[in-house]
Amino acid sequence: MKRFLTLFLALSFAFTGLGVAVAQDATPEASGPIKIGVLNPTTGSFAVFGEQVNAGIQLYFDSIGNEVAGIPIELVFADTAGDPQQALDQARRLVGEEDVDMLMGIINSAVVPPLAEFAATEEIPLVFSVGGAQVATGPDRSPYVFRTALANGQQDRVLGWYTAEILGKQSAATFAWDFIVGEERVGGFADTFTAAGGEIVSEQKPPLGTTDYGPFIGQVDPTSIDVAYAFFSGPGALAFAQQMADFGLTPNVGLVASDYFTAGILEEMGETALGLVQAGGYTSSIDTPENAAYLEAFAASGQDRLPGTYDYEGYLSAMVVADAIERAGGIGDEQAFLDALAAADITTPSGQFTFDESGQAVRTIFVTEVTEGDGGPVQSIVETVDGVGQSWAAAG
Amino acid sequence: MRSVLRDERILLAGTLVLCVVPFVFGNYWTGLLTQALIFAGVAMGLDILVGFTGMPSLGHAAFFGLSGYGAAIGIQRYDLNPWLAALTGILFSIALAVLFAPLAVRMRGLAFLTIMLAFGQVCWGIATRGGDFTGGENGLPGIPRPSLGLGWWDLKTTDGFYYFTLVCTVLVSFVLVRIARSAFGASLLGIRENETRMMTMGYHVAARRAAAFSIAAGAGAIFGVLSAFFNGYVGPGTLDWRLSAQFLLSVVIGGAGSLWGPFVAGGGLHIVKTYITGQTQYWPMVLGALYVFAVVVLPGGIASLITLARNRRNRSSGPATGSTTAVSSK
Repeated sequence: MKRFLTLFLALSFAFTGLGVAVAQDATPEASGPIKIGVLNPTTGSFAVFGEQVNAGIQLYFDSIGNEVAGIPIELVFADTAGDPQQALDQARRLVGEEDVDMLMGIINSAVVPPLAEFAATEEIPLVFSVGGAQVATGPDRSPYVFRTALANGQQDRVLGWYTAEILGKQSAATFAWDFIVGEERVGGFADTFTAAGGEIVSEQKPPLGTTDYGPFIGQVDPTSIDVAYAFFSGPGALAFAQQMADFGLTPNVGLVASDYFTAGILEEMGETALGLVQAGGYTSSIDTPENAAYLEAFAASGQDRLPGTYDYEGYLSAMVVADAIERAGGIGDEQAFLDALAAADITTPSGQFTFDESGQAVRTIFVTEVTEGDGGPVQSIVETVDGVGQSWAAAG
Repeated sequence: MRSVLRDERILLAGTLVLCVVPFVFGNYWTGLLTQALIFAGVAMGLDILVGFTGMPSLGHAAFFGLSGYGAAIGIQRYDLNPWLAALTGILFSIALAVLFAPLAVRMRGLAFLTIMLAFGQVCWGIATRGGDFTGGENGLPGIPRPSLGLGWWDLKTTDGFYYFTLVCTVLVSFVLVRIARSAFGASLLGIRENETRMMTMGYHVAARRAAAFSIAAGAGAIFGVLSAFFNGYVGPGTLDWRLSAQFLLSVVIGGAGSLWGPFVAGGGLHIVKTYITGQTQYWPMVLGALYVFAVVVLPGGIASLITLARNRRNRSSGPATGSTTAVSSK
């Protein structure tokens, strides 16, 4: 019994000692830097996107000397691995141990709802740099939550309208991976497409990650549609475009997609990419002085390619956060910072940027079409729609 | 008497030490330990199945996740009282285990491992493709914590929920220790060591394996609900085979058949993982190396440290005095 008591006392002392050490460590410094926790996946299947967003955030803060309103900015990166549980654990670590003033990042939709919940209960400002799940900026949204990226379906609403109204297409088949993001994106497209007089003839939902679309394309009568909507990314996007051509659907049937047929994929597609129409929140061909400056900064950071959506979204979110810190004169007064965020009105490389009352970005959407260029197919902007919110509908 | 009371003493000492945590540590550590206790409890329950009965499962997260889903769906879809929803979730998970047990316990070794993996993946598949009902890939956020109706004990605070988790953990561990030491626990060890002999002796082996299976599932289910309340969220990740692997690994690293070894490892792994993830981008490599190191250096798990220490002491001070229990003799 004596040995047991000794052991217990020793352990208690050890814990107390540690506790004191931790407590001293955690003493807040009144004039310390602003610490921003950046939560992105740098391992797992979303790692490549996470790295790009991280680099984008870093690039912007570097470009302003890592200082806003005279206060130094310190970024603390953490890896979510794309997993909600790990994202929560790391968010708690950033807030509880690293003592960050706010969080940003995220990437994949699955992590969005639990993190939004976390921000609401912990009362810590959270800016989604990427991560589209609609619920985060829905009616039950917390005042601590903002999203600088597009919500799922936001650009698809413009695409649906454009396809029916401008391209004059009447009946569409949609092809999207069967998971929540695909559902929300097709929902946005179908909404405005049917509002403009179009009809969705068939909704095909191949399993997430599949690259064999034969059974799904085969179910659609090619004569019944004049356009196909696709939401696939990476190798899936490439395979889909090729199989559409193999089945003889394209080029007779038009192909519209939201933003995931990246420059690299278009290059692989070659001639078959011609006529592909996409809608997104950023394309490197935007012709404004702001974008020219961004392209220059991006190239100066040692990149030999053009920036894509993820590079830009990281950069943009940092820009919006820095602007709010500047106007609030810091982040110490949390309410002032949240108010400043909500009141954002910035000229960004992708046009004018504001938030709606649910903390969702209202941005310019660019519709692009792949056309014949000098050195092969190029993407050029065919339509620009300003002030697109998450429930945008064509005027009139 | 000493050996009989040993487990209770470990339990008491552990409880006392864990009780002081919120007083000396900040909120962050209290929260981290809450999640660690949850994983520790699951690993301890799984040990009844893996360590005692010798049935390695790679689908244990299913019972952990399903009870969380059950509670969340009860609250959000049927407006149940959170306590009632929690109970429903736990019972749902246990009922599923009881129903599936007769099929599962027909398998041995790798076949059992595989069928449990399949079982887990089916649950995962149903959750991810359940549309609005299960929230699909998004899972179900916004699960409110229940209230004890006591002014001084608020489960919405970090400390309050920590103590609640601690109470549940102590109760479950106590029950598990009692089960392990009972005649039933000894019969499980017998089944692990020599199934044929147990059968000839007249034991209904399949029923006992099914019971062990359900007990492990029950512990998983209880902590699954706690996890759902703690995180305010359940998602397909709670059913993922990777979580099952983490539980199984906790049992192996802790020392299968020692109960408190898997408990320490289950909680410890979570803390170590959270810490290392924050330190280096190469955390999966570091963690992997750590696993390999643990298994190579301590094939008997963390629990074998005690046996090693005791053997060393006994070698210098004459023959052993205390008998060892079935639990520690592994």
